[in-house]
Amino acid sequence: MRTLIKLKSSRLKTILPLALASGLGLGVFWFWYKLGDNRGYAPDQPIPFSHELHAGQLKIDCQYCHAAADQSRHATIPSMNVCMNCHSVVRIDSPHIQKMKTLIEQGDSLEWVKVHDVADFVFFSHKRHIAKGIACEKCHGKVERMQKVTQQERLNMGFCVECHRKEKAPTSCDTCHH
Amino acid sequence: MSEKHWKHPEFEQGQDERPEGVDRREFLKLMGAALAMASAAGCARRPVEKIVPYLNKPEEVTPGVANWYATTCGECPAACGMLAKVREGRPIKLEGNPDHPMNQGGLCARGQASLLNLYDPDRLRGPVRSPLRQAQGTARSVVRSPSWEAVSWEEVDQSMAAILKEVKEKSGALRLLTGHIESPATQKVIDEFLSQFPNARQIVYEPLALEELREANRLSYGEAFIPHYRFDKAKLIVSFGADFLGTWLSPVEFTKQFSQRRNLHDGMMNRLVVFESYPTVTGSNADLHIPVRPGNEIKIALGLAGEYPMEKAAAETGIDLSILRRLAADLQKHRGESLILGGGYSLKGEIGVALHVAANHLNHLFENEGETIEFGTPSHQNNRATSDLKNLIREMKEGRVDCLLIYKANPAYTLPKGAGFEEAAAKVPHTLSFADRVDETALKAGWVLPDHHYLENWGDAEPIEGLLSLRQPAVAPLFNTRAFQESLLKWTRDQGPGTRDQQLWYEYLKNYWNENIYKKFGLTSSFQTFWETVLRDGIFDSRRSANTYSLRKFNTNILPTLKVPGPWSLVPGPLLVTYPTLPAYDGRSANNGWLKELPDPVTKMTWRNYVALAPEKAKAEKLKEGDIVKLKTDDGTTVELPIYIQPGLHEDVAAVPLGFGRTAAGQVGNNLGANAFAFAAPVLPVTIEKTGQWMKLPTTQQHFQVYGRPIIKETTFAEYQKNPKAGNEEVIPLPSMWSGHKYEGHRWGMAIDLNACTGCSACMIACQAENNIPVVGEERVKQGREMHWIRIDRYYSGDENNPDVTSQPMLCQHCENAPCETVCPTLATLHNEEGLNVQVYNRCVGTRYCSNNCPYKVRRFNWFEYLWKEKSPLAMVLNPDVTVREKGVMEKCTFCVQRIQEGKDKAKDFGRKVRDGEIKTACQQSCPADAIVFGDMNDPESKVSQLKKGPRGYHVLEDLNVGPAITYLTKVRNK
Repeated sequence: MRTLIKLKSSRLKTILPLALASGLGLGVFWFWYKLGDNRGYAPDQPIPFSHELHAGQLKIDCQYCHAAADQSRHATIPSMNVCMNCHSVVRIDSPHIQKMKTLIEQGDSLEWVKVHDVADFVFFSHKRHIAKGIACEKCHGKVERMQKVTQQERLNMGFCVECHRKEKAPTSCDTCHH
Repeated sequence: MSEKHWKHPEFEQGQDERPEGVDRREFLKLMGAALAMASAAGCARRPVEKIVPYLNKPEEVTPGVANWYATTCGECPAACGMLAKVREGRPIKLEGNPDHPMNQGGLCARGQASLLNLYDPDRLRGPVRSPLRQAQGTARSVVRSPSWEAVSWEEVDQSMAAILKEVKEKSGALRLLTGHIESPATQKVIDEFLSQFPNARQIVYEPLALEELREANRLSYGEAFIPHYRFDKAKLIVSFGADFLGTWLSPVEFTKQFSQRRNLHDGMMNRLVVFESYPTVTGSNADLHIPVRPGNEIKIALGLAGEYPMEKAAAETGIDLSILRRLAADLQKHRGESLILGGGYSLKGEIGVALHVAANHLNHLFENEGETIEFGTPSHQNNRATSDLKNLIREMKEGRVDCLLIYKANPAYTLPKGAGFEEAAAKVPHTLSFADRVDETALKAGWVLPDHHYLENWGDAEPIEGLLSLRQPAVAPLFNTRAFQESLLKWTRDQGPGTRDQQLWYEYLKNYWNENIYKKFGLTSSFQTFWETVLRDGIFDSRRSANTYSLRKFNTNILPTLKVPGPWSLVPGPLLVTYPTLPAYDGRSANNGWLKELPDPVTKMTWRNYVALAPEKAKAEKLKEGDIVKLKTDDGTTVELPIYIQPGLHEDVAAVPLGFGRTAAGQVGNNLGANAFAFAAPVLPVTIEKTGQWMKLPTTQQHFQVYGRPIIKETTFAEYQKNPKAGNEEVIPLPSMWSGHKYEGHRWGMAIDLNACTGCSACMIACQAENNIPVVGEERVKQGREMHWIRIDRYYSGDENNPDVTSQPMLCQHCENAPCETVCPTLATLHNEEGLNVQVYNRCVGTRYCSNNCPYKVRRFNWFEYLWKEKSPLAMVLNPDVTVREKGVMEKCTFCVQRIQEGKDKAKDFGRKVRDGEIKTACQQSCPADAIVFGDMNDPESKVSQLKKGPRGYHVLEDLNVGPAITYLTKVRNK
């Protein structure tokens, strides 16, 4: 079979395959580079809870809701009764609050979608980082300005280790992997 | 849990089938597509994870932080104090309660493994009923349909009300067959329940009962009881077969006491002399181990007491006279500080009683009463039994029992074939079982009303008189089960349907403690405070106020009436001895994969039972290991089992472990080995026939000789007293080509005292629970692919036929110049700055070079994905602080790095340094003998540094110069 496109110059004959190959190479590189990079991830939540409103305008302390952040590995999502501390009187006419109320009455909880998610084999301790005085926004970004929570940092091993090196925190494998 | 249930069906079944999923070509295609998709989609996260918050978070629960509840172990009648570690509402590990005066923080392998029974997928999900129909012809005989139908508790209560009313009105016979009841409150519930019927009785049946000991004490002291033994006060212990370090009465407590006089901390050491006819943990720790033919023990005991000519005893038992003479002299020397124990579970009947009486006499002669044997606080850890059961079976056969309730007993499995329990059960119109599964006995019942697992239930226990402990639920009931006590209370207090009050038993228990304990001691605090204190501590020790010493007078008139020879002991030829082993006990937890794969501490066999024969006997019979033989007793009972060659056995003994061959235990424990309870008695004349078949045995250790290598270093106590470095004098020059590591902070290390270690294997289960170690199954064990991070190696030295035994816990040595680290192509295993040899699972590609290069053979490879999630709810037992490893990944002991992190985290919270002894590895924590010490070797004051520097410290295979972080302390024998 004859080639459909006749290449006029011999220079082009060498450049084009090279360009294609390097393009593909870049593509592969980009693919692996992007793999696991979840920056910008902002899934829809069961109700459009706004951190901008609660943490930004109303200035509710992070740990009012994420209460175990200084006691446990997990920052924890507030239990439903914490929401109802205010919402049994505040904005009870909102359809979202009503949805929540109905769920509670049924004995169910909201199923929030995890945004910031380190790999399963990483044991990250919120407690240790808070005790060191590291601000929440260092990893989570300016949540108080987010209508919808979006992942800001890569939260991969490079991200962790970079900071650990700078702060002279332990970098032994077993610090996080066990 | 075995591999057949766990492993993803890989290549074994239907190897020619195309595996599901993606092949290489397709993978490339998809890769291309994915590349394009990824470029387009940007950040599509996989997988999407959900967080479901609590509706109302219980105040005491913090996700990620463990809660500890003090409770009481329910696995065996010893009832040790226990702490349950609970994460997010589910128990994930059991540890001994350090404040409990009995077990002092230790917990045996079975106690720890009983956690897995909670998550056993074969547990009943709720009550079931087997539809009854009258068989044609025999009016009273009932044939039961094998199909079970689920019922609700309301239906159960309604039907029970009718049945009990009927029984009551016609003055019918109601019988309650129970196992050992450790709980005084439960006993009261039972008594109250039975008191409403004109003809009701409780029968207590425990297959491994110390009936003979109780009877002997009745003859000797006028009361059937079991005293409290004090091994910590005994300098010379003589046991005639009682396996007090393995299965007898209260092994964890006894190991704690025993090891206190064994660790040479004060330079002193006790001496253990064991005469035994079957291989036990106690026997393998003896300083002087003498195999005897069953029945001959009594001659030795009476010989030592001077009631039987010692020359005759020596001649008849084949024991060197000088040994007996020396022992008698030793006993004289240790008046008031020796302890003589009679036979174990296997010596039944008159001869068993006679031996215990002889032991009592010896204790009386050598003034041990009131010293090493305490009468004031008797043990309640074993109940009387079987003779009552014979009456019950007769009654049942005659059709005189109208309603039979069975709780914590499995007579259809644990009674001899000839006992006829099954036929008798068919003649009882109403049979109820409270078993947690449809076991062998429940199969004969009309109803199975599953009881809670003990971790889901309230309760109490009084293992030693005056020492009370509480049991509290560590988890809400997983299934639709109901406490046995709740059922009885319900049927006692309201016979009609309607009110369904789950709190009956709790309120009853609380009230019982108020009336019978709180008020009795006239405490100043309020009852609520008292109750909360006991709940928190787990125990209430009232022995301080009780009279701890009361002298009982040994009745010497009993001695001439003792019948020395037993009926079978006169028959020449081999004797069958069936005996309990530490992992299997009486077979109650046969469906527990952890225990099934736990090597027997003495024989190192897993998964199934065997006939243990002495080497010379096997040679004479031309039998080799694995040959399957047929054991036949006079009554025609036959059992086929493989041969296992066990040095240290008496020539005439064929020993068979109990607790195997269950048929209705569940998918893990069914049809493994043969049921040794089938024989009419534990000791019987037997014939051994070859079948010509052979099988590979699932052992974890194949050879036991040291061949002169520096693995075990041992000496005698006499040598040790002259020179503490005895046995460890050799200095090996260690030139090194490595520059060494620098440790600026901690440097973790361990010391293991071989003299304290009894080989009980509690550490193995502790490690398994802590570190999410899978069970691989019998076939994989045969291939040497078991996954235990810590194992107990057992070595023999001395006489080939009756060797000295050393148990050596072997785990990753965290070498300074680790041979595994240098060969890993991906840096998946490396040295960290605290001296740990860490394994990074994510980097591991499974070349197994490291395992090949490890001189200690402690690395384990995941040949398969041992899918925890396959069988619900088993995955709930997993420790969330430890990664679950995948197929193709190497793993090994981490020195419990998660516990180290936790300890450091705690120290940081308080802004201080980690204290010595604060961080305990799982194996160390569980050790009933305190043989394991973990700590910082950079701290010269730490216990581990002290032990390392001490004269007894050595490294295994020191000449290799790998620089292990684990120091072993020489084994010292008090010959």
